[in-house]
Amino acid sequence: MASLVERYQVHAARVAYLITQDRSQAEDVVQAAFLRAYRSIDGFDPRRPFQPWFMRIVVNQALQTVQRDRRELSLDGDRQAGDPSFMLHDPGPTLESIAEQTELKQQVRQALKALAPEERAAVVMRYYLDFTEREIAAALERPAGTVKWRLHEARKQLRTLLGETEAEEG
Amino acid sequence: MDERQLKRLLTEIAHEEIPDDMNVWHEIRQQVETANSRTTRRGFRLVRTGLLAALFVLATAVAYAVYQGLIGSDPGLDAVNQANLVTTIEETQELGGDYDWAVTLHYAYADANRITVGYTVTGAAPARDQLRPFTNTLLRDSTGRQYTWLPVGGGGGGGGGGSSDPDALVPFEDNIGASFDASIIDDAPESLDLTLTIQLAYATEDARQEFGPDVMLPAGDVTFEFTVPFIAGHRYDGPQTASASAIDMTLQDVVVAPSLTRLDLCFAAPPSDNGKPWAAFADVTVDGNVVVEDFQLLSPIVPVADSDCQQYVMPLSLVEYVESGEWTLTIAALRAPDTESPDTVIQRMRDEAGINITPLEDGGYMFSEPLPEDMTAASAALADILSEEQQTLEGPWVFQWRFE
Repeated sequence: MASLVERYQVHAARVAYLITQDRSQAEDVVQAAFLRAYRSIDGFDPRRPFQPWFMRIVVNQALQTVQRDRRELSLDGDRQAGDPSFMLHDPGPTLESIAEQTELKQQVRQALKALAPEERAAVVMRYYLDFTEREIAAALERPAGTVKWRLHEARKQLRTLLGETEAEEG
Repeated sequence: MDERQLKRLLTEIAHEEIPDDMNVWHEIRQQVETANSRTTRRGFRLVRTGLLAALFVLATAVAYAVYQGLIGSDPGLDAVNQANLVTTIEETQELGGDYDWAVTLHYAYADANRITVGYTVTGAAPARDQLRPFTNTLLRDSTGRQYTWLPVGGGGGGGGGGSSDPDALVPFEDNIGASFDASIIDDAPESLDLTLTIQLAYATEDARQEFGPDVMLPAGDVTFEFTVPFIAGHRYDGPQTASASAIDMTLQDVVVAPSLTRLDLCFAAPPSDNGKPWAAFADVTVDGNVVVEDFQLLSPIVPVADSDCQQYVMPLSLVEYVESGEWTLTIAALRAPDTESPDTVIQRMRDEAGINITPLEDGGYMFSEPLPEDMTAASAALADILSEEQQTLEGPWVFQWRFE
Protein backbone atom coordinates (compact mmCIF):
# COMPACT_ATOMS: atom_id res chain seq x y z
CA MET A 1 0.00 0.00 0.00
CA ALA A 2 2.81 2.36 0.84
CA SER A 3 4.17 2.22 -2.67
CA LEU A 4 0.72 2.95 -4.08
CA VAL A 5 0.34 5.96 -1.81
CA GLU A 6 3.80 7.16 -2.71
CA ARG A 7 3.12 6.83 -6.37
CA TYR A 8 -0.38 8.24 -6.66
CA GLN A 9 -1.01 10.57 -3.74
CA VAL A 10 0.18 13.78 -5.38
CA HIS A 11 -1.67 13.17 -8.62
CA ALA A 12 -4.77 12.19 -6.66
CA ALA A 13 -4.54 15.34 -4.55
CA ARG A 14 -4.31 17.48 -7.66
CA VAL A 15 -7.40 15.86 -9.12
CA ALA A 16 -9.19 16.29 -5.80
CA TYR A 17 -8.13 19.92 -5.57
CA LEU A 18 -9.42 20.75 -9.03
CA ILE A 19 -12.81 19.35 -8.05
CA THR A 20 -13.06 20.57 -4.45
CA GLN A 21 -11.15 23.84 -5.03
CA ASP A 22 -9.84 23.46 -1.50
CA ARG A 23 -6.37 22.20 -0.52
CA SER A 24 -7.34 20.87 2.86
CA GLN A 25 -10.37 19.08 1.49
CA ALA A 26 -8.21 17.64 -1.29
CA GLU A 27 -5.88 16.02 1.26
CA ASP A 28 -8.88 14.63 3.14
CA VAL A 29 -10.24 13.26 -0.12
CA VAL A 30 -6.95 11.50 -0.89
CA GLN A 31 -6.86 9.88 2.54
CA ALA A 32 -10.46 8.75 2.27
CA ALA A 33 -9.93 7.46 -1.27
CA PHE A 34 -6.90 5.38 -0.29
CA LEU A 35 -8.83 3.99 2.65
CA ARG A 36 -11.71 3.03 0.37
CA ALA A 37 -9.28 1.48 -2.09
CA TYR A 38 -7.61 -0.43 0.74
CA ARG A 39 -10.95 -1.74 1.96
CA SER A 40 -11.85 -3.01 -1.48
CA ILE A 41 -8.36 -4.12 -2.50
CA ASP A 42 -9.24 -7.80 -2.20
CA GLY A 43 -11.42 -7.31 -5.23
CA PHE A 44 -8.75 -5.52 -7.24
CA ASP A 45 -6.78 -7.37 -9.88
CA PRO A 46 -3.15 -6.31 -9.37
CA ARG A 47 -2.36 -7.04 -13.01
CA ARG A 48 -4.67 -4.26 -14.12
CA PRO A 49 -3.65 -0.62 -14.13
CA PHE A 50 -4.31 0.82 -10.72
CA GLN A 51 -4.55 4.47 -11.70
CA PRO A 52 -7.84 4.57 -13.65
CA TRP A 53 -9.59 2.48 -10.99
CA PHE A 54 -8.22 4.61 -8.20
CA MET A 55 -8.90 7.94 -9.90
CA ARG A 56 -12.53 6.96 -10.20
CA ILE A 57 -12.60 6.57 -6.44
CA VAL A 58 -10.86 9.94 -6.02
CA VAL A 59 -13.31 11.74 -8.29
CA ASN A 60 -16.34 10.25 -6.58
CA GLN A 61 -14.91 10.91 -3.14
CA ALA A 62 -14.22 14.53 -4.10
CA LEU A 63 -17.74 14.94 -5.45
CA GLN A 64 -19.23 13.50 -2.28
CA THR A 65 -17.11 15.86 -0.20
CA VAL A 66 -18.17 18.91 -2.18
CA GLN A 67 -21.81 17.92 -2.21
CA ARG A 68 -21.80 17.36 1.55
CA ASP A 69 -20.36 20.79 2.05
CA ARG A 70 -23.16 22.80 0.55
CA ARG A 71 -22.83 25.49 3.20
CA GLU A 72 -19.36 26.40 2.05
CA LEU A 73 -20.51 26.49 -1.56
CA SER A 74 -23.24 28.94 -0.76
CA LEU A 75 -20.81 31.15 1.16
CA ASP A 76 -18.63 31.26 -1.92
CA GLY A 77 -21.59 32.56 -3.84
CA ASP A 78 -21.15 29.87 -6.45
CA ARG A 79 -23.58 29.58 -9.24
CA GLN A 80 -25.82 26.56 -9.06
CA ALA A 81 -26.16 24.37 -12.11
CA GLY A 82 -28.94 25.48 -14.38
CA ASP A 83 -29.02 29.08 -13.12
CA PRO A 84 -30.77 30.79 -16.05
CA SER A 85 -29.26 34.22 -15.39
CA PHE A 86 -25.85 32.72 -15.96
CA MET A 87 -26.77 31.51 -19.41
CA LEU A 88 -27.69 35.02 -20.57
CA HIS A 89 -24.17 36.39 -20.46
CA ASP A 90 -22.58 37.32 -23.73
CA PRO A 91 -19.83 34.83 -24.49
CA GLY A 92 -17.55 37.73 -25.39
CA PRO A 93 -14.28 37.21 -27.21
CA THR A 94 -13.28 33.73 -28.28
CA LEU A 95 -11.15 31.74 -25.92
CA GLU A 96 -8.30 31.69 -28.43
CA SER A 97 -8.10 35.47 -28.39
CA ILE A 98 -7.45 35.67 -24.66
CA ALA A 99 -5.18 32.64 -24.36
CA GLU A 100 -2.06 34.76 -24.23
CA GLN A 101 -3.25 37.07 -21.48
CA THR A 102 -1.37 36.78 -18.24
CA GLU A 103 -4.57 36.72 -16.23
CA LEU A 104 -5.96 33.77 -18.08
CA LYS A 105 -4.99 31.25 -15.44
CA GLN A 106 -6.65 33.27 -12.72
CA GLN A 107 -9.73 33.55 -14.86
CA VAL A 108 -9.78 29.80 -15.38
CA ARG A 109 -9.51 29.37 -11.62
CA GLN A 110 -12.54 31.56 -11.09
CA ALA A 111 -14.41 29.93 -13.91
CA LEU A 112 -13.75 26.49 -12.47
CA LYS A 113 -15.03 27.59 -9.09
CA ALA A 114 -18.23 28.82 -10.64
CA LEU A 115 -19.01 25.51 -12.29
CA ALA A 116 -21.32 23.07 -10.56
CA PRO A 117 -19.34 20.25 -8.89
CA GLU A 118 -20.40 17.55 -11.36
CA GLU A 119 -19.52 19.77 -14.29
CA ARG A 120 -16.18 20.51 -12.68
CA ALA A 121 -15.60 16.77 -12.21
CA ALA A 122 -16.44 16.13 -15.85
CA VAL A 123 -14.00 18.83 -16.98
CA VAL A 124 -11.26 17.49 -14.74
CA MET A 125 -11.77 13.92 -15.92
CA ARG A 126 -11.87 14.92 -19.59
CA TYR A 127 -9.15 17.54 -19.77
CA TYR A 128 -6.88 16.74 -16.82
CA LEU A 129 -7.17 12.96 -16.55
CA ASP A 130 -7.75 12.43 -20.28
CA PHE A 131 -10.69 10.12 -19.65
CA THR A 132 -12.89 9.37 -22.63
CA GLU A 133 -16.55 10.29 -22.41
CA ARG A 134 -17.34 6.61 -21.98
CA GLU A 135 -14.91 6.34 -19.07
CA ILE A 136 -16.40 9.43 -17.47
CA ALA A 137 -19.85 7.94 -17.84
CA ALA A 138 -18.69 4.76 -16.12
CA ALA A 139 -16.99 6.68 -13.32
CA LEU A 140 -19.97 8.89 -12.62
CA GLU A 141 -22.50 6.15 -13.36
CA ARG A 142 -24.33 8.42 -15.74
CA PRO A 143 -25.49 7.71 -19.28
CA ALA A 144 -22.94 8.65 -21.96
CA GLY A 145 -25.39 11.18 -23.38
CA THR A 146 -25.65 12.93 -20.04
CA VAL A 147 -21.89 13.17 -19.82
CA LYS A 148 -21.64 14.53 -23.34
CA TRP A 149 -24.25 17.15 -22.53
CA ARG A 150 -22.57 18.00 -19.23
CA LEU A 151 -19.20 18.48 -20.90
CA HIS A 152 -20.79 20.62 -23.58
CA GLU A 153 -22.47 22.78 -20.96
CA ALA A 154 -19.29 23.01 -18.92
CA ARG A 155 -17.28 24.13 -21.95
CA LYS A 156 -19.93 26.69 -22.82
CA GLN A 157 -20.06 27.98 -19.29
CA LEU A 158 -16.29 28.15 -19.06
CA ARG A 159 -16.27 30.29 -22.18
CA THR A 160 -19.02 32.45 -20.79
CA LEU A 161 -17.35 32.89 -17.45
CA LEU A 162 -14.02 33.72 -19.01
CA GLY A 163 -15.66 36.23 -21.26
CA GLU A 164 -17.57 37.74 -18.37
CA THR A 165 -14.42 38.09 -16.30
CA GLU A 166 -12.56 39.75 -19.09
CA ALA A 167 -15.40 42.11 -19.79
CA GLU A 168 -15.57 43.09 -16.13
CA GLU A 169 -11.86 43.75 -16.00
CA GLY A 170 -11.82 45.55 -19.29
CA MET B 1 -8.56 28.46 -25.75
CA ASP B 2 -8.37 24.93 -27.07
CA GLU B 3 -8.43 21.69 -25.16
CA ARG B 4 -4.65 21.54 -24.98
CA GLN B 5 -4.47 24.98 -23.42
CA LEU B 6 -7.18 24.08 -20.94
CA LYS B 7 -5.28 20.95 -19.96
CA ARG B 8 -2.08 22.96 -19.52
CA LEU B 9 -3.81 25.54 -17.34
CA LEU B 10 -5.50 22.89 -15.23
CA THR B 11 -2.13 21.21 -14.78
CA GLU B 12 -0.46 24.46 -13.78
CA ILE B 13 -3.19 25.30 -11.30
CA ALA B 14 -3.05 21.83 -9.77
CA HIS B 15 0.74 21.96 -9.49
CA GLU B 16 0.65 25.39 -7.86
CA GLU B 17 -1.78 24.23 -5.21
CA ILE B 18 -0.48 20.73 -4.53
CA PRO B 19 3.32 20.56 -4.25
CA ASP B 20 5.32 17.54 -5.38
CA ASP B 21 6.33 16.71 -1.82
CA MET B 22 2.82 16.49 -0.42
CA ASN B 23 2.69 13.36 1.72
CA VAL B 24 -0.32 12.02 3.59
CA TRP B 25 1.04 8.51 4.13
CA HIS B 26 1.22 8.83 7.91
CA GLU B 27 -2.42 9.88 8.12
CA ILE B 28 -3.44 7.06 5.79
CA ARG B 29 -1.41 4.51 7.73
CA GLN B 30 -3.07 5.57 10.98
CA GLN B 31 -6.50 5.16 9.42
CA VAL B 32 -5.59 1.79 7.92
CA GLU B 33 -4.33 0.55 11.28
CA THR B 34 -7.51 1.75 12.93
CA ALA B 35 -9.56 0.01 10.27
CA ASN B 36 -7.55 -3.17 10.73
CA SER B 37 -8.14 -3.20 14.47
CA ARG B 38 -11.86 -3.11 13.73
CA THR B 39 -11.72 -5.91 11.20
CA THR B 40 -14.12 -8.68 12.09
CA ARG B 41 -13.37 -12.34 11.72
CA ARG B 42 -15.89 -12.44 8.96
CA GLY B 43 -13.55 -10.34 6.86
CA PHE B 44 -11.22 -13.25 6.44
CA ARG B 45 -13.79 -15.03 4.36
CA LEU B 46 -12.81 -12.84 1.44
CA VAL B 47 -9.17 -13.87 1.29
CA ARG B 48 -8.74 -14.33 -2.41
CA THR B 49 -7.69 -17.62 -3.83
CA GLY B 50 -5.85 -15.70 -6.50
CA LEU B 51 -3.79 -14.00 -3.85
CA LEU B 52 -2.96 -17.28 -2.17
CA ALA B 53 -1.99 -18.68 -5.53
CA ALA B 54 0.31 -15.71 -6.03
CA LEU B 55 1.84 -16.35 -2.64
CA PHE B 56 2.35 -19.97 -3.58
CA VAL B 57 4.24 -19.00 -6.71
CA LEU B 58 6.37 -16.56 -4.79
CA ALA B 59 7.09 -19.06 -2.03
CA THR B 60 8.28 -21.70 -4.41
CA ALA B 61 10.66 -19.30 -6.06
CA VAL B 62 11.81 -16.37 -3.99
CA ALA B 63 9.26 -15.01 -1.59
CA TYR B 64 9.81 -11.31 -2.09
CA ALA B 65 7.35 -9.49 0.08
CA VAL B 66 5.69 -7.54 -2.67
CA TYR B 67 2.23 -8.94 -1.92
CA GLN B 68 2.35 -8.66 1.84
CA GLY B 69 0.63 -5.33 2.01
CA LEU B 70 -2.46 -6.83 0.45
CA ILE B 71 -2.96 -9.70 2.83
CA GLY B 72 -4.81 -7.76 5.44
CA SER B 73 -4.93 -7.61 9.18
CA ASP B 74 -3.45 -9.99 11.70
CA PRO B 75 -5.50 -10.19 14.92
CA GLY B 76 -3.18 -12.83 16.40
CA LEU B 77 -0.14 -10.60 16.09
CA ASP B 78 -2.14 -7.62 17.32
CA ALA B 79 -3.03 -9.65 20.42
CA VAL B 80 0.54 -10.57 21.31
CA ASN B 81 1.62 -7.02 20.66
CA GLN B 82 -1.00 -5.67 23.02
CA ALA B 83 0.06 -8.25 25.62
CA ASN B 84 3.66 -6.99 25.33
CA LEU B 85 4.91 -10.40 24.29
CA VAL B 86 7.08 -9.17 21.43
CA THR B 87 10.79 -8.57 21.94
CA THR B 88 12.00 -5.12 20.97
CA ILE B 89 15.27 -5.17 19.06
CA GLU B 90 15.66 -1.85 17.18
CA GLU B 91 18.96 -2.70 15.53
CA THR B 92 19.98 -1.00 12.30
CA GLN B 93 22.37 -2.31 9.69
CA GLU B 94 23.55 -0.06 6.90
CA LEU B 95 24.23 -1.57 3.51
CA GLY B 96 24.95 1.75 1.82
CA GLY B 97 25.43 1.54 -1.93
CA ASP B 98 23.97 3.81 -4.55
CA TYR B 99 20.67 4.08 -2.74
CA ASP B 100 22.01 4.30 0.82
CA TRP B 101 20.17 1.15 1.92
CA ALA B 102 19.60 0.54 5.62
CA VAL B 103 17.51 -2.05 7.44
CA THR B 104 16.19 -1.71 10.97
CA LEU B 105 14.95 -4.82 12.76
CA HIS B 106 12.31 -3.54 15.16
CA TYR B 107 10.96 -6.61 16.92
CA ALA B 108 10.69 -10.39 16.96
CA TYR B 109 8.21 -12.85 18.40
CA ALA B 110 8.12 -16.65 18.63
CA ASP B 111 5.58 -19.21 19.75
CA ALA B 112 4.80 -22.81 18.88
CA ASN B 113 3.01 -21.86 15.70
CA ARG B 114 4.94 -18.97 14.23
CA ILE B 115 7.90 -16.66 14.41
CA THR B 116 7.37 -13.07 13.31
CA VAL B 117 9.85 -10.29 12.68
CA GLY B 118 9.15 -6.65 11.90
CA TYR B 119 11.63 -4.53 10.02
CA THR B 120 11.93 -1.38 7.94
CA VAL B 121 13.98 -0.88 4.81
CA THR B 122 14.99 2.69 4.06
CA GLY B 123 17.09 4.51 1.49
CA ALA B 124 17.01 7.31 -1.01
CA ALA B 125 16.97 7.29 -4.79
CA PRO B 126 16.94 9.98 -7.48
CA ALA B 127 13.38 10.88 -8.40
CA ARG B 128 13.95 9.85 -12.01
CA ASP B 129 14.62 6.23 -10.93
CA GLN B 130 11.12 5.78 -9.46
CA LEU B 131 12.63 3.07 -7.31
CA ARG B 132 10.61 0.29 -5.72
CA PRO B 133 12.33 -1.74 -2.98
CA PHE B 134 11.70 -5.47 -2.42
CA THR B 135 12.85 -7.76 0.36
CA ASN B 136 13.08 -11.48 0.93
CA THR B 137 13.63 -12.96 4.38
CA LEU B 138 15.43 -16.18 5.33
CA LEU B 139 15.26 -17.42 8.93
CA ARG B 140 17.18 -20.19 10.64
CA ASP B 141 18.08 -21.01 14.24
CA SER B 142 21.18 -22.18 16.03
CA THR B 143 20.12 -25.84 15.76
CA GLY B 144 20.05 -25.58 11.96
CA ARG B 145 16.28 -25.44 11.52
CA GLN B 146 15.19 -23.33 8.57
CA TYR B 147 11.75 -21.77 8.73
CA THR B 148 9.37 -21.36 5.82
CA TRP B 149 7.22 -18.32 5.22
CA LEU B 150 3.62 -18.28 6.48
CA PRO B 151 0.89 -16.52 4.48
CA VAL B 152 -0.35 -14.48 7.42
CA GLY B 153 0.25 -11.02 8.68
CA GLY B 154 0.92 -8.07 6.57
CA GLY B 155 3.27 -5.52 5.35
CA GLY B 156 2.25 -1.99 5.58
CA GLY B 157 5.05 0.16 4.63
CA GLY B 158 6.02 3.72 4.47
CA GLY B 159 5.89 6.31 1.83
CA GLY B 160 8.35 8.64 0.38
CA GLY B 161 8.19 12.03 -1.13
CA GLY B 162 8.25 13.05 -4.71
CA SER B 163 10.08 15.73 -6.58
CA SER B 164 9.83 17.50 -9.89
CA ASP B 165 13.63 17.61 -9.99
CA PRO B 166 14.69 14.27 -11.52
CA ASP B 167 18.05 14.43 -9.73
CA ALA B 168 16.59 15.13 -6.31
CA LEU B 169 17.06 12.31 -3.83
CA VAL B 170 13.70 10.93 -2.75
CA PRO B 171 13.65 8.85 0.46
CA PHE B 172 11.86 5.49 0.41
CA GLU B 173 10.68 3.32 3.26
CA ASP B 174 9.14 -0.13 3.42
CA ASN B 175 7.77 -1.61 6.64
CA ILE B 176 7.46 -5.39 6.61
CA GLY B 177 6.06 -7.93 9.03
CA ALA B 178 7.22 -11.41 8.02
CA SER B 179 5.92 -14.59 9.65
CA PHE B 180 7.40 -18.08 9.56
CA ASP B 181 6.01 -21.52 10.31
CA ALA B 182 7.26 -22.66 13.73
CA SER B 183 5.54 -26.04 13.72
CA ILE B 184 8.84 -27.77 13.02
CA ILE B 185 9.93 -27.00 16.60
CA ASP B 186 9.14 -30.27 18.33
CA ASP B 187 10.35 -29.34 21.80
CA ALA B 188 9.72 -26.34 24.04
CA PRO B 189 12.94 -24.34 24.35
CA GLU B 190 12.94 -21.30 26.63
CA SER B 191 14.28 -19.20 23.78
CA LEU B 192 15.43 -19.38 20.19
CA ASP B 193 18.75 -18.12 18.88
CA LEU B 194 17.82 -16.88 15.43
CA THR B 195 19.64 -15.64 12.35
CA LEU B 196 17.61 -13.50 10.00
CA THR B 197 18.95 -12.70 6.56
CA ILE B 198 17.14 -9.98 4.66
CA GLN B 199 17.87 -9.91 0.94
CA LEU B 200 17.26 -6.58 -0.74
CA ALA B 201 16.27 -5.99 -4.32
CA TYR B 202 14.86 -3.10 -6.28
CA ALA B 203 13.37 -2.05 -9.57
CA THR B 204 13.86 1.27 -11.32
CA GLU B 205 11.83 2.75 -14.13
CA ASP B 206 14.66 2.16 -16.57
CA ALA B 207 14.89 -1.50 -15.53
CA ARG B 208 11.14 -1.95 -15.85
CA GLN B 209 11.24 -0.44 -19.32
CA GLU B 210 14.10 -2.71 -20.36
CA PHE B 211 13.21 -5.99 -18.66
CA GLY B 212 9.50 -5.77 -17.95
CA PRO B 213 7.36 -4.87 -14.94
CA ASP B 214 8.46 -7.80 -12.76
CA VAL B 215 12.19 -7.13 -12.86
CA MET B 216 14.11 -7.15 -9.56
CA LEU B 217 17.78 -6.21 -9.30
CA PRO B 218 19.72 -7.52 -6.28
CA ALA B 219 21.11 -4.91 -3.90
CA GLY B 220 22.75 -7.15 -1.30
CA ASP B 221 21.70 -8.53 2.05
CA VAL B 222 22.00 -7.90 5.77
CA THR B 223 21.98 -10.41 8.63
CA PHE B 224 20.72 -10.03 12.18
CA GLU B 225 21.41 -12.42 15.03
CA PHE B 226 19.19 -12.24 18.07
CA THR B 227 17.51 -14.27 20.79
CA VAL B 228 13.79 -14.31 21.36
CA PRO B 229 11.74 -16.01 24.11
CA PHE B 230 9.72 -19.02 22.94
CA ILE B 231 6.11 -19.48 24.06
CA ALA B 232 4.88 -23.08 24.00
CA GLY B 233 1.47 -23.93 22.61
CA HIS B 234 -1.48 -25.90 23.93
CA ARG B 235 -1.84 -29.12 22.04
CA TYR B 236 -4.65 -31.57 21.38
CA ASP B 237 -3.57 -34.83 19.79
CA GLY B 238 -6.16 -36.75 17.83
CA PRO B 239 -6.94 -38.38 15.69
CA GLN B 240 -10.68 -38.30 15.43
CA THR B 241 -12.72 -38.74 12.26
CA ALA B 242 -16.07 -37.33 11.12
CA SER B 243 -18.03 -38.06 7.95
CA ALA B 244 -20.28 -36.01 5.67
CA SER B 245 -20.98 -35.97 1.93
CA ALA B 246 -19.40 -39.43 1.82
CA ILE B 247 -16.06 -37.92 2.81
CA ASP B 248 -14.11 -38.91 5.90
CA MET B 249 -12.27 -36.02 7.52
CA THR B 250 -9.68 -36.61 10.22
CA LEU B 251 -8.45 -34.04 12.69
CA GLN B 252 -4.91 -35.08 13.53
CA ASP B 253 -4.05 -32.41 16.05
CA VAL B 254 -4.66 -28.83 17.10
CA VAL B 255 -2.09 -26.39 18.49
CA VAL B 256 -3.24 -23.14 20.04
CA ALA B 257 -0.55 -20.50 20.61
CA PRO B 258 -0.93 -16.81 21.47
CA SER B 259 -0.55 -15.58 17.89
CA LEU B 260 -2.02 -18.39 15.80
CA THR B 261 -4.13 -21.55 15.85
CA ARG B 262 -3.04 -24.51 13.75
CA LEU B 263 -5.08 -27.50 12.60
CA ASP B 264 -3.82 -30.63 10.87
CA LEU B 265 -6.65 -32.00 8.77
CA CYS B 266 -6.81 -34.97 6.42
CA PHE B 267 -9.52 -35.62 3.87
CA ALA B 268 -9.79 -37.05 0.37
CA ALA B 269 -12.32 -35.02 -1.59
CA PRO B 270 -12.99 -35.49 -5.30
CA PRO B 271 -11.40 -32.86 -7.55
CA SER B 272 -13.40 -29.64 -7.81
CA ASP B 273 -14.92 -28.68 -11.16
CA ASN B 274 -12.14 -26.22 -11.93
CA GLY B 275 -9.37 -28.22 -10.29
CA LYS B 276 -8.69 -25.64 -7.60
CA PRO B 277 -8.15 -26.78 -4.01
CA TRP B 278 -11.16 -26.92 -1.75
CA ALA B 279 -11.41 -24.19 0.86
CA ALA B 280 -12.58 -25.21 4.32
CA PHE B 281 -14.90 -22.96 6.33
CA ALA B 282 -14.87 -23.44 10.08
CA ASP B 283 -16.78 -22.49 13.22
CA VAL B 284 -15.32 -22.94 16.68
CA THR B 285 -17.34 -22.97 19.87
CA VAL B 286 -16.05 -23.38 23.41
CA ASP B 287 -18.59 -24.61 25.92
CA GLY B 288 -21.28 -23.64 23.45
CA ASN B 289 -20.05 -20.07 22.97
CA VAL B 290 -19.14 -19.12 19.43
CA VAL B 291 -15.54 -17.85 19.25
CA VAL B 292 -14.92 -18.26 15.51
CA GLU B 293 -17.63 -18.09 12.89
CA ASP B 294 -17.52 -19.03 9.22
CA PHE B 295 -13.78 -18.60 8.95
CA GLN B 296 -11.95 -19.70 5.82
CA LEU B 297 -8.98 -21.70 7.04
CA LEU B 298 -5.77 -20.47 5.45
CA SER B 299 -4.19 -23.16 3.33
CA PRO B 300 -0.48 -23.92 3.40
CA ILE B 301 1.72 -22.06 0.93
CA VAL B 302 3.35 -25.29 -0.11
CA PRO B 303 0.94 -28.23 0.28
CA VAL B 304 2.39 -31.56 1.34
CA ALA B 305 2.78 -33.38 -1.95
CA ASP B 306 0.65 -36.47 -2.62
CA SER B 307 -0.99 -36.29 0.77
CA ASP B 308 -4.55 -35.87 1.94
CA CYS B 309 -3.22 -34.24 5.11
CA GLN B 310 -2.46 -30.53 5.18
CA GLN B 311 -1.78 -27.91 7.79
CA TYR B 312 -4.29 -25.08 8.08
CA VAL B 313 -3.99 -21.96 10.19
CA MET B 314 -6.16 -19.23 11.67
CA PRO B 315 -4.23 -16.07 12.63
CA LEU B 316 -6.40 -15.66 15.70
CA SER B 317 -5.44 -15.67 19.36
CA LEU B 318 -7.61 -18.29 21.08
CA VAL B 319 -5.44 -19.10 24.12
CA GLU B 320 -7.89 -17.45 26.47
CA TYR B 321 -10.36 -20.25 25.74
CA VAL B 322 -7.96 -23.16 26.32
CA GLU B 323 -8.84 -23.58 29.98
CA SER B 324 -12.53 -23.05 29.40
CA GLY B 325 -13.75 -26.52 28.63
CA GLU B 326 -15.02 -28.40 25.61
CA TRP B 327 -14.04 -27.21 22.17
CA THR B 328 -16.11 -27.95 19.09
CA LEU B 329 -14.67 -27.46 15.61
CA THR B 330 -17.24 -27.58 12.85
CA ILE B 331 -16.13 -27.65 9.24
CA ALA B 332 -19.42 -26.50 7.80
CA ALA B 333 -18.51 -26.93 4.15
CA LEU B 334 -15.79 -27.30 1.57
CA ARG B 335 -16.13 -24.80 -1.25
CA ALA B 336 -14.35 -24.61 -4.57
CA PRO B 337 -13.44 -21.00 -5.37
CA ASP B 338 -14.39 -19.45 -8.69
CA THR B 339 -16.85 -22.15 -9.68
CA GLU B 340 -19.81 -19.81 -9.44
CA SER B 341 -21.51 -18.14 -12.40
CA PRO B 342 -20.38 -14.48 -12.36
CA ASP B 343 -23.60 -13.37 -14.08
CA THR B 344 -25.65 -14.96 -11.34
CA VAL B 345 -23.55 -13.41 -8.59
CA ILE B 346 -23.74 -9.96 -10.20
CA GLN B 347 -27.51 -10.23 -10.58
CA ARG B 348 -28.02 -11.45 -7.02
CA MET B 349 -25.83 -8.68 -5.57
CA ARG B 350 -27.87 -6.12 -7.48
CA ASP B 351 -31.22 -7.63 -6.55
CA GLU B 352 -30.54 -8.63 -2.96
CA ALA B 353 -28.03 -6.06 -1.77
CA GLY B 354 -28.55 -3.21 -4.23
CA ILE B 355 -24.83 -3.24 -4.98
CA ASN B 356 -23.14 -3.33 -8.38
CA ILE B 357 -20.02 -5.43 -8.79
CA THR B 358 -17.70 -6.16 -11.70
CA PRO B 359 -16.08 -9.55 -12.32
CA LEU B 360 -12.31 -9.74 -12.67
CA GLU B 361 -10.54 -11.84 -15.23
CA ASP B 362 -8.80 -14.16 -12.78
CA GLY B 363 -11.85 -14.71 -10.62
CA GLY B 364 -13.10 -12.49 -7.86
CA TYR B 365 -15.06 -9.27 -8.05
CA MET B 366 -14.60 -5.55 -7.66
CA PHE B 367 -17.19 -3.22 -6.23
CA SER B 368 -18.36 -0.70 -8.82
CA GLU B 369 -18.41 3.01 -8.21
CA PRO B 370 -19.87 4.54 -6.21
CA LEU B 371 -18.47 2.17 -3.59
CA PRO B 372 -20.89 0.97 -0.93
CA GLU B 373 -20.94 3.10 2.19
CA ASP B 374 -20.65 0.05 4.43
CA MET B 375 -17.87 -2.02 2.88
CA THR B 376 -17.96 -4.62 5.64
CA ALA B 377 -21.64 -5.31 5.08
CA ALA B 378 -21.15 -5.30 1.31
CA SER B 379 -18.25 -7.76 1.57
CA ALA B 380 -20.33 -9.99 3.82
CA ALA B 381 -23.23 -9.93 1.36
CA LEU B 382 -20.87 -10.90 -1.45
CA ALA B 383 -19.34 -13.66 0.64
CA ASP B 384 -22.77 -15.04 1.48
CA ILE B 385 -23.82 -15.15 -2.16
CA LEU B 386 -20.51 -16.70 -3.22
CA SER B 387 -20.86 -19.35 -0.56
CA GLU B 388 -24.25 -20.26 -1.94
CA GLU B 389 -23.23 -20.19 -5.59
CA GLN B 390 -19.85 -21.91 -5.43
CA GLN B 391 -19.49 -25.65 -5.84
CA THR B 392 -19.90 -26.94 -2.32
CA LEU B 393 -19.44 -30.17 -0.45
CA GLU B 394 -21.75 -29.81 2.49
CA GLY B 395 -20.66 -30.80 5.96
CA PRO B 396 -20.76 -30.64 8.77
CA TRP B 397 -17.68 -32.44 9.95
CA VAL B 398 -17.70 -31.98 13.71
CA PHE B 399 -14.84 -32.59 16.16
CA GLN B 400 -14.83 -32.17 19.93
CA TRP B 401 -12.02 -32.21 22.47
CA ARG B 402 -10.61 -30.72 25.65
CA PHE B 403 -7.08 -29.46 26.15
CA GLU B 404 -5.31 -31.42 28.92
